[in-house]
Amino acid sequence: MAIGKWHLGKLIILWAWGAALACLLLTDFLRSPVESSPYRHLFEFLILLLTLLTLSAVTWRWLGSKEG
Amino acid sequence: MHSSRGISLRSLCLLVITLAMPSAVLNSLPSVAAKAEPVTATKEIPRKGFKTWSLFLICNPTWLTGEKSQQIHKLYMQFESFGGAIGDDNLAVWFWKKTKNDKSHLEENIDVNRAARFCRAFGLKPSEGPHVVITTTYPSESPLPAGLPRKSAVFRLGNMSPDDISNLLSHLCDQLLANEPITDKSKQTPKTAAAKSLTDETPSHWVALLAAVQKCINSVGCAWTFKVDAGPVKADLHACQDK
Repeated sequence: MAIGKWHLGKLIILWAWGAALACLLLTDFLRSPVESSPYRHLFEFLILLLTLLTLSAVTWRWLGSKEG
Repeated sequence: MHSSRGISLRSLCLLVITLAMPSAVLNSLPSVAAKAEPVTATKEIPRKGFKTWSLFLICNPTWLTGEKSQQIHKLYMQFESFGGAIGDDNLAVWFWKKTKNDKSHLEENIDVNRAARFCRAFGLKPSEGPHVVITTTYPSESPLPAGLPRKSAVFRLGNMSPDDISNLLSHLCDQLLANEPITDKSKQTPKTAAAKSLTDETPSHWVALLAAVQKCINSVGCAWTFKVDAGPVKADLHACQDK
């Protein structure tokens, strides 16, 4: 499937899910002190970063392709 | 016959000497076994031959009342056993005003002033005490150190039960004998007991970094509020609650 043909609305849906996941992760990350469970906080923070980076990469790569 | 009697006499003498020697030699040697050193007001903390010093500091005035007499006695017994078990290289120090064989009313004989000087120098809160400070640097009193020595650990016994203290001291004893860095490994010590070593208080770098990121996001997040006013629907989102 050529993602380059994706509609802008689909990207909004993709980002909406991504943002929801990121918000949940961020909320949990900020909720308790890092020292209480460092590994859980690290995991949440890394997944949060990964989610946002992946979505940015997908958007950058294939939204540009659509215009091109 | 004569020669055999000579031999047997000689053997007997040798046997007597062999049996008598160890106790005689042992009795004549100075006692080198480690123990809880009762340091009186005029006596310096022993320095030579020790790698670590475990200071027992009672700066909390509530521990000096008659009601605590029994607890002090139990604590001293525990500390004395700890001092005896930590080996020759480690010294346990307890400050007394004067040498006293009578074990009753121990609280009257505790050199609080001396302990308080250390508490002040180490920045320890008397209310959290008694404290056990374990250090690899000689605790000099002239001049007193400004702050805790680098390689040292503090244990606050104020809110701990006698059982917790006993567990803590046995874990510390294990660590001192094994030359391990001193930490509170006692699983049974409740968190409320505030028995925390300095090494526990210092998180590893990545944890500190992550905590800094969290703090940073929090501070950025607290700087905004989100208001929605759409006729009947009104919402007012605050990133952080007022403290």
